[in-house]
Formats: sequence, C-alpha cells, structure tokens
Amino acid sequence: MKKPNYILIIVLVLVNLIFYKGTAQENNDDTYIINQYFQLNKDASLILENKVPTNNNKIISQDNFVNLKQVGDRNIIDIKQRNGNNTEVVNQLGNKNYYSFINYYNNSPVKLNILQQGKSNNLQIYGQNSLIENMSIVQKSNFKTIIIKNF
Amino acid sequence: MKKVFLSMAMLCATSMLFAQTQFFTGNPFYDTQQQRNDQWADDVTQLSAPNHSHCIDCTVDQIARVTYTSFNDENNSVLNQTGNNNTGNVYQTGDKNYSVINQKGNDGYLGAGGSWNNAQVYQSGSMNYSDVKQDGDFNDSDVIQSGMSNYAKQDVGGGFADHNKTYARQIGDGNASLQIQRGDGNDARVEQLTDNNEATQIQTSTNSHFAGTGNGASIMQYGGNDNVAYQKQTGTTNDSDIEQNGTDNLSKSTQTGYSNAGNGNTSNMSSSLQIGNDNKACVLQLAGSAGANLSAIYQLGNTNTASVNQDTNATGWGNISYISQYGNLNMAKITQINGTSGY
Repeated sequence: MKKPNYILIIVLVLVNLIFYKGTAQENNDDTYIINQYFQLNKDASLILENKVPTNNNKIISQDNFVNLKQVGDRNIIDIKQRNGNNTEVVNQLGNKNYYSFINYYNNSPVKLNILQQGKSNNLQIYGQNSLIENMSIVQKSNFKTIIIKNF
Repeated sequence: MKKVFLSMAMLCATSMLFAQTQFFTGNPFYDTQQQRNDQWADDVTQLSAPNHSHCIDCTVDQIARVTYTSFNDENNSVLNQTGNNNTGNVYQTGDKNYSVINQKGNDGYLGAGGSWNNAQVYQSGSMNYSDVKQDGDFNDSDVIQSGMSNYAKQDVGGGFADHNKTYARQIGDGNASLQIQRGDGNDARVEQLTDNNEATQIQTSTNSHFAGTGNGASIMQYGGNDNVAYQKQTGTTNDSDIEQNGTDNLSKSTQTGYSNAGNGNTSNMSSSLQIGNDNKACVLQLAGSAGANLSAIYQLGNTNTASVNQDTNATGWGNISYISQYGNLNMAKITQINGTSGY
C-alpha cells in the first residue's frame, strides 16, 4: 500500500515542477520584456531630455533616428524618411523577414547599421547615393536578396 | 495503478510540451500576412513621398455610452459645489447607480471658485455611470468602478485649467472611460482590468493662445481582449503612455501642436507596451517650431502592427523612433519627415 503512495507523490512533484517551470518561463519572458521596455523608455527619455535644451548639438539636431528590433519569423519593416540626417539601427533575427528603407529628397549622410539573421531575408534600399556612409549590413542567411538603388 | 499514474504524468508533460511549442510554431495568419507582404511591396514600388498618412486600419471607435435609466430600485447622486477647497465623496453599491459631481467655478488660476477641489466616487455593482466636472486649478478627481457596464466621464477645465489630476480605475466587464483636460500641467490616468474596456483621453485647450503644456496621460489596460486606448494631446512637452496586455488591442497616440501664436509643439513623448497577439500601436506626432518627437513601441506576441508617423518642421530638432517586436508575423512601419513638411 505504501508503494503506490510514493509513486503518487513522485508523480505529483514532477507534474508540479513541470507547471512551475512553464509558469516561471512565461513570467520571465514578460518580466524581461517589461524591464526592457522601461529601460528603453528611460534611455529614450534621457536622449530627448538631452536633445531638447541643446539645439546647437549638431550630432542630433535635424535628425531622423530609428532603432528597430524584431525577433521572430516573417516580420516586416518599412521605413520612409524625408530630409534630415538619418540614422538607423535595425536588427532582424529570424526567418523570411523583410526590410525596406526609402529615403526622399535628401542629400545628407545616412548612417545605417542593419543585421538580418535567418533564411530568405530581403533587404531593399532606395535613394541616397554615394553619401550612404557608415553603412554596415550583415545578412546571415540563405536565399539573400539585397536591392540598393541610389538615385 | 502504477502504470496509470505514470501514464497520467506522461500525458501532462506531453501536453505542456506541445502547449509551449505551439505558440511559437503556429502560423494561422499566413494568408493575411501574405496579403500584407503584397501590400507593402506595392507601397514600396509606388515610391510616393511620405506624408501625414495615418496608420493602416488604425481607427478608434469613440466612447458613446451615456446611458442612464432611473427606477425605484436605483440610487442616484448629484452633487454641485462652487468655490474652493471642496470635497465631494460618493459611495454607491448595488445595481444601476448614477453619480454626477459638479465642482465648478471660474476656470482661471485663483479665481472666484473652483480650485483645490477634490472629488471621489466609488461605485460597485453593475451598469453604473459617473460624470465628474471640475473647473479651475489644482483639482483632484478619482473614480473607481467595479462591476459590469460602467461608464465614467470626467471633464476638467472650461477654457484652461492647470495642475489637475484625473484618475479612473475600472474593474469589470464592458467599461469605458472618457477624460478631457484643458490647460497646462495636468495629469490623467486610466486603469482598466478585465474585458472589453476602452479609454480615451484628450488633453487640449479651447484657448487659441494656450494650447496645453506639460501634460501627462497614461492608460493601463491589463487583461481582456479588444481593448482600445486613445490619447490625444495638443500643445507642448506632452507625454503619453499606454500599456496593454491582451489580444486584439489597439493603442493610438496622437500628439500635435497648436499652429497659432507661434506655439509650436516641442518634446512629444509617446510610449506603448503591448503584450499579446494581434495588437496595433499607432503613433502620430507633429512637432512645430523647435520641436522634437520621440516614440517607443514595445510589442510581445504574434501578428502585431506598429506604425509611427513623425513630422517636424524646418526648425524642428528631429524625430526618434524605437520599435521592438518579439514574435512572428509582426509589422513595423515608420515614416519620418524632417523639415519642409509645411507643418
């Protein structure tokens, strides 16, 4: 009679551990994302606070700044910018992601830093001729497609 | 007996394994996403210059739930107060209650009345409706509703009123909240829990020379699906925060400056956090003279959409956009215009 009770206890402990692990993973994911969100807002607030009172800051004045991160499959990024010094930091991690950047009416330097990791990625960049300085594009995948047309 | 227990344990473990992996490998929206891909490809090939285009499908159904029926078994309360330093507390429990608090006076700083007033409403039950009206400066208002089909509306300031705090907390099904503040240095916050809630907050001014400066608005919606959060701010140095946790949620933040009297829009800040699937976050920021826009969107889940439209005029200080999306089939669209936009 004791043996089945031991087995029952062991089974219950295992089941509880499995549930606890699943719940802990979900909480960790949410906690991680929320912590990053608040850190992101904090960083962004600091940037803007430093930006507003210093109009003479040439580095960030008249800027379009994009920091974009996608983790997953089949994600899409579409960026359109017009005028100003453009800076982009884009990270796409996953498969079959899509990235598009179009720049209009601009002859200012563009700073790009793009990373695509996964299969069947696609990258398209239009506009902005030889002034695309500081560009670094890293694609780690099969079936790569890069289309850059500088007008 | 031993085999039965072991079989149950294996069944539970296997179920947990499949439940965890299905979330990340499932792709029930491929057709929809393929249509999105085609749509984006068409947009790219058109090569049209960006403008103030709004988000795709980013519309907000406005709150229109002013319903009140009075019968014998219902309580209702109407409280009118004039002058300064008034306190109005309403506590209602039961079904179909109704409460209105009017704390009105002059809508100017240290006027003949209407400043430093405090209104508190607590309603527990179903189909409650609360309406709070405050004019003047340094007023506080708190509305807490727990139950079904509640509706809260708070209106602060006639022309312009400064340094007011307006707070609404709704716990229950089918709640809605609409908060309007006019003036400078105001703070508005809505917290909603459980199902089918929607919230709209507007911070503006009817005075053409005082568009509203230094206002803060936040909406927190946790739990429930099909939530809608909309915040509209006009003026300078405004802050908008929206947090949503659920499915099919929509957050929309619109921050625009006032075009008269040289009151440009400076330092717009908007942050959105969405956890769940099929969420949409839309941000529209227009900065006038000497203005800067900042937007941060964070989405965790699948098939989420983030759309940001930022615009500064020729003397603006720039646009900053942060977007982070974790999951599959997400879409991010950013349009930034710096100068010569005519705004």
